Amino acid sequence: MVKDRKSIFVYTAIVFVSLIVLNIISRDVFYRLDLTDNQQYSLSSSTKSVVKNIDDLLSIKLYFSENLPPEEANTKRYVQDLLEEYVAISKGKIQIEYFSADDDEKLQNEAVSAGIQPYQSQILENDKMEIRIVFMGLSMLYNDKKEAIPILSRNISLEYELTKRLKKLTSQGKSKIVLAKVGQQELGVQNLTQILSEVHEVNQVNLADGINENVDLAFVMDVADSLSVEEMSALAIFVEGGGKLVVGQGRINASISSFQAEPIRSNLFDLLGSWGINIQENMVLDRKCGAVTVPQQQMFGGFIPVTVNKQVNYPFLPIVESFDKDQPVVSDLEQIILLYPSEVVENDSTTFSLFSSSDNTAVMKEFYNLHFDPESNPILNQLSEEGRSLATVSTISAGGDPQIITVGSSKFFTDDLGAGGANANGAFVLNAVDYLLGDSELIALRSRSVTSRPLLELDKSEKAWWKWMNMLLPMMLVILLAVYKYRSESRRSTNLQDRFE
Amino acid sequence: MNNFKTIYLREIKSYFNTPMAYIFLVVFALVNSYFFTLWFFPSNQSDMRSLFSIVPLAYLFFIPAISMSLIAREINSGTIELVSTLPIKDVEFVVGKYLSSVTLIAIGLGLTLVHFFTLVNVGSNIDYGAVFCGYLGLLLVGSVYCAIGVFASSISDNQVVAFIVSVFVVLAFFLMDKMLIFMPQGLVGIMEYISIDYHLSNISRGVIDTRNIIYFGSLIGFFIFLSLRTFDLRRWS
Repeated sequence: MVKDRKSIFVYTAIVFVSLIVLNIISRDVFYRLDLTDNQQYSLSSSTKSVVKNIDDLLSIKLYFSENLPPEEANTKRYVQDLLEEYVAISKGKIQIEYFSADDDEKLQNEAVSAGIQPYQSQILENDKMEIRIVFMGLSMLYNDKKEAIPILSRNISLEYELTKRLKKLTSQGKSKIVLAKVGQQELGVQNLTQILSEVHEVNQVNLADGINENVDLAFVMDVADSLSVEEMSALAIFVEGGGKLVVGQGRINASISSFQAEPIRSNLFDLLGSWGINIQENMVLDRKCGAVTVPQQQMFGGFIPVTVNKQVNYPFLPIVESFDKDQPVVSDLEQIILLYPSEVVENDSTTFSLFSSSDNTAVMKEFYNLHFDPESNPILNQLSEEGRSLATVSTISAGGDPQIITVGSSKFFTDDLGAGGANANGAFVLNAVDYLLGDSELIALRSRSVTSRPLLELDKSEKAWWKWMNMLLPMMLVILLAVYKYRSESRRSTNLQDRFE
Repeated sequence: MNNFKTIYLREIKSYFNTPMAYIFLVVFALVNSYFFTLWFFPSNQSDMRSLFSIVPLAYLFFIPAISMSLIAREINSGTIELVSTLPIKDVEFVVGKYLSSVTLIAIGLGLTLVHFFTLVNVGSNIDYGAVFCGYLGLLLVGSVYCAIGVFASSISDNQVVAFIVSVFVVLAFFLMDKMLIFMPQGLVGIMEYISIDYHLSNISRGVIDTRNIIYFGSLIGFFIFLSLRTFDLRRWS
């Protein structure tokens, strides 16, 4: 009990101020327990360190349409919830604004100019589904720099996309990547350049001119001949000086258009061998494979010969699904595809396999027949050997940082097949770069997307049953409790009455 | 402790010995059930957000209704004077009554487990952590509103006045989040932090954050403290 009236107010003021102080302290010193499945609101340490680097106000504008279909509404909620997590760790540096751009032409124009891409979707309006142009994207503004995610679909890995863009906005300098050309090589790497340029600074250089020491990572691929002394020296100096290297190189030079093949004679393999990377002079075939289109003669009407295009499985295009789950660079990948790959041998100390062909493999050596027809190419009927390693990650010295990733296919990174030719290959390229540059946590983020949680398919009568059950059962339970209580009270009162009469 | 238990049980009994608890529970269940079934199936999502968004709205009127009589009735009937002569501490008296109202809210929330049962049967990939946190958030919000109700009940001997004061304060906390667009930029962060909805949405997505727990604990503690101080004020007036 408080002793006098005045001290009541003093006491109240002290408690009030103490609670405010407690809440202010709790904003900086806090602990979060994420109980959601997949820890979907636990931001990675990579994200946290990127957010920590924000030293000025970063504004995120979310443009969403109303009455979105369930799947997109779910994505919208996830986006909002995840952004709140960014705000929670940003100590006021990230600010979010929400806009519904449905009927406001000015806002729609603003959204489009910010990089948001409107698209057609079915939305629920007046109890019926209608096709409408909807907005579901976000833009970010930091100092005078801008970034946008044009469409926030449930298939994208939102934390990865957000963090990648935040990093781009807040980092002072981008990582420097070069695509090294050997001799008179013309690299068809438009897709590779495009996906890498989203975050990194990408240039092509002649290897003979040397690789600048401020370059973080270099690609070497599709080499068909020996390197010159200058090129060998430049590559050796770069790698031995700590530079990171991604190699896309097979031992067989094969043409998918002419089905011709011959071994590549290059001193590059000796150099790689000196770093513990052994690309074997062979070609790995796999029953799990992609298809090629080939022209075939058919008789139309029984007597008119016509040429039709037909898709046939082509074991020289192995589809890889066997990844080493202990290697973060590939642990979340599901599938990639290679063209005319050679085996890349792992060793125990510095080179480790990343992925292998399936156990329906055959290895072609010395004589190379690329024909797709098993009758002309008997090895296609002998796809029963165990899987062979097709890519490795290596350290130059035992215990050092991973420095070289080698894929045993010359065309893996080129436009023929690689980074742009198949989406999953693109994911591997980004993983490989992030991993070598020390951003391996971004790799795990790339596989995180919104989990779909639809209700089970119910017919009308089942739905009606559940609806009525939900409507009536809670009330029924209360009424049953009331009846039970009434009856027990009545019994008690009758007992008392009997006792006193 | 014994006194606290006696007051708590007496208050619980008084709820269930009169039609009040049953009326509250039936109407509360009806409102929640109606809006749950209205939104749950069209949304086609295996979560309970349709329920978690309606319960705070239902609280706005139900909690002031169940808490308005807690202390105001004692003041009005004069039993508060009798209680003050008994060896019962104010804190035992107030907290006992407060917890009885929280218990009634918990029973009301317990009825919504029927909807959870439905979700388990017709949903896929259910995020049980998020559902658990959603319920925890609703219980915490209910506890804050009950504390406000107890305080409102302690400042007047008129239950209608207590109800109106309680609705007004609860509504202010509830609406704060919705009024942010009208606030000056400098106040937005503060007002957002004070609003109940901001903390509820944080918890109900499946993340237990000490900041949210401290916020709810502070509000509960503060309004219970204020209720105790009104006892002191009455004594010194």
